[in-house]
Amino acid sequence: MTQLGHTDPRYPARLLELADPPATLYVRDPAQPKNLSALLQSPIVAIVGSRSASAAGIAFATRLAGELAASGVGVISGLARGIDAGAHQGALDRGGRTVAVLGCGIDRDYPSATIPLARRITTDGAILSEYPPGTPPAPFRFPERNRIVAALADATIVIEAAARSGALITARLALDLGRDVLAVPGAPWSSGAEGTNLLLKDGALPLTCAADALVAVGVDPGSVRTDDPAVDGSARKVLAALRREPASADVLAARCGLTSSAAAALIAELELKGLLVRELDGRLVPTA
Amino acid sequence: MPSRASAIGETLRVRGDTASLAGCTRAGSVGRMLTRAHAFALTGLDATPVEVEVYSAAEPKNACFTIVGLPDKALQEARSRIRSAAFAAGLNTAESLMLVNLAPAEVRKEGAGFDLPIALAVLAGHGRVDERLVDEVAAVGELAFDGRLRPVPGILSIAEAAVAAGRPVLVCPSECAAEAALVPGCRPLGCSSLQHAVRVLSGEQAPAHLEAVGVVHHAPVPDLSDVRGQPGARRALELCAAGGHNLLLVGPPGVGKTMLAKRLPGILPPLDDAAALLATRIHSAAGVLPAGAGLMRVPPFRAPHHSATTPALVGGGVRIRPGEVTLATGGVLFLDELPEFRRDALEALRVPIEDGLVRISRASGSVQLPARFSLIAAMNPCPCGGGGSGGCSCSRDRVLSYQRKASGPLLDRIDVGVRLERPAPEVLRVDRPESTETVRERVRAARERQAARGCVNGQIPVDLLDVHAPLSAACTKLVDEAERRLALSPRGLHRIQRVARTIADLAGTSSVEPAHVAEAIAVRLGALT
Repeated sequence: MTQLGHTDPRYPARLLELADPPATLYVRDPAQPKNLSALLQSPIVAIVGSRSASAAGIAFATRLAGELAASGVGVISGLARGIDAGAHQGALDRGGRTVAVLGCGIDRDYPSATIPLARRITTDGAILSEYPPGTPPAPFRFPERNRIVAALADATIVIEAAARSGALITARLALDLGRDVLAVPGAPWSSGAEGTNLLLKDGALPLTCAADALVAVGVDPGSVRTDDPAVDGSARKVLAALRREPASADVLAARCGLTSSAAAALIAELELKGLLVRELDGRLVPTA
Repeated sequence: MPSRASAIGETLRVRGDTASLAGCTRAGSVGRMLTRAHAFALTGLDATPVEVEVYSAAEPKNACFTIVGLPDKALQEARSRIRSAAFAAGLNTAESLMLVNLAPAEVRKEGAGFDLPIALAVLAGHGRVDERLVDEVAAVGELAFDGRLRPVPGILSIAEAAVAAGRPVLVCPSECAAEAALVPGCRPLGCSSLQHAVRVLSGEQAPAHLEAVGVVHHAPVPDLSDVRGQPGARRALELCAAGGHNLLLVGPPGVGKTMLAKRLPGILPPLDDAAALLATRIHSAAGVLPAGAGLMRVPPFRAPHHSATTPALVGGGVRIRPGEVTLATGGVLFLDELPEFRRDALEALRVPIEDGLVRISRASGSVQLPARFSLIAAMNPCPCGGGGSGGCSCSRDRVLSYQRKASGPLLDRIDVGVRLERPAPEVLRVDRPESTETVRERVRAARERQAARGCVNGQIPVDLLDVHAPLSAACTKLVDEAERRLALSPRGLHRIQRVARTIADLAGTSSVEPAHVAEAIAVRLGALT
């Protein structure tokens, strides 16, 4: 663990734009202050959203973070479950670097679901907290933590958020700091889209692909590399049917006139290519 | 069959005529004698021969009736039943001194099955039946006060032990005769009462007619075609039947999880001779085999309630009784409402699932019982039962932690998971469910292929996986992709390989194709969450 005070040259200058910058920034690994400085040299975005996001939302976060990382843009988030975890994961998977800001003491493994992820970040990015070691996680600390996320990033992207949520707090803090806020639009009947649609009405920039984020942070969007694997034949038909409307495996098989055995094989093929995910209710949803 | 039985009575009578005369004179003159009968003590599924020695003497001043040799409470109470039944048979033992010894002394003897052998030895000691005839046969049965014989559990085990001990003639309650006759070599003499038993032994009367001997026990198994609108779940059930895989059904209440599980015994191949005898023996020893039921050819289906205790599930108790896992041997153990089961009970299931047997240890020694079954577990998708869809208010985190907690102890023993929904109209419109018979035929063919390899797919050891289910380069690519993209553990990958082998066996191909691996990946347990 390393402590960075206000006067430390490695203390991120942009945190001082906050009305109440953290007096001390704890960094989990002695090697990480260097990572952090390097990351802040290049464009960096915050990706935030609901902890109880849909599988499709998390898949989108992972994919977006991956494409941004591949274009040299860093990703910062809060190491929570759901969208946060998806964003960290996506950046790490594509060899990018990522920063996690904790809402508890720097030495705490919280939440337990993201411990493996935190371990990967130790070597590839930075884990920060303003709380001294041993501080337990508490609900009021997460909004506090969010101001650091917003202040460190050049722009904040919100994917799936309820009307009252930590992600919206982060977005408002970013606006206060004069940073761009981008939100993923959603269908009005989708509860996960309430918060992002609210932000869009308030003037946030709509985001539907990585290029939107790259424009916002001043990177040439021509450099974005998508890696959608090719699918053909029946798999393409299955994917098209799901794009019209997500469905369970049985319904999908009925719609496409397939046996459940054949449908299962195609579903696995698409799942392995990252083109569909399964929601908790068993429905299959395309990711792109 | 009845003719054979009466022939035995005939042979006994020939010897009995001369012998009974001698017995009568001796009893009349001496008034004291030592007689023997042969009984069996049931421990778990196995019966041990027990020699019953009775010393009888006409000593009105010292009249008593004592049983020694580790008898339990029910056996101590046998004295009242035997006295009363003997009286009904015309023998007043009120003025007799009777000492009963059960050997070997260190074997615990339990239950009312000793009534008949002790009573026969007592009658022989009083010259009412030839002692040599009683000494020659095995006997089992509970007595009523009026001398009627009542059936006892474990007849099949006792009959096997009787044949093994060289006493193939078994005097038993008439309800039990058919069951005993299932054992090759056993010649049961079914009797309705103690008086009847005496007359059968003396050749004065034929034993009860052996009804239902060898009749196949057909519990009606409902047809798979009743499960409409669930093609994916039916396919998963077929995979489990074909490969001996364990299955988890996840779905809201009322979608047909239980309905589906109940149809698994129907698509499993009927039990072969050895398996049928074992299943019947287990059910008999547990006392749950209906009288006169005959051999169990249909695989058993056991569905213990979720309040079941650990001993109820894996067996145990002071008198060691087979538990649900043993009763399900050769068939299906269905655990509905999996999250409601006690955690220690589920933990206790892990060993039987892995090893196919349970060991129950007691101070008096340990007993090993078979426990090889197909497991089907069922649960709601979330704490509220709504299923994560419309009307469900559970958060993603709650649902995930519920599913993880619920399936926890058994999760790594389950190969296939399937999600059930209320059948959608568009599925019902096109779904044409196959009958149990059609599916059973496919399962039978797939099982035959496995038998040729010497091992059911669900039990292929890890080191033989690449021998029995080698993967082509294209298949390996899929498996590697699954490992990377879906973060599967090595154990999860092995499970996919086993299920893919089953899918190939059902398709009738010798090699595992990429489509088989893909389907196995789609039905992996992890796909549920």
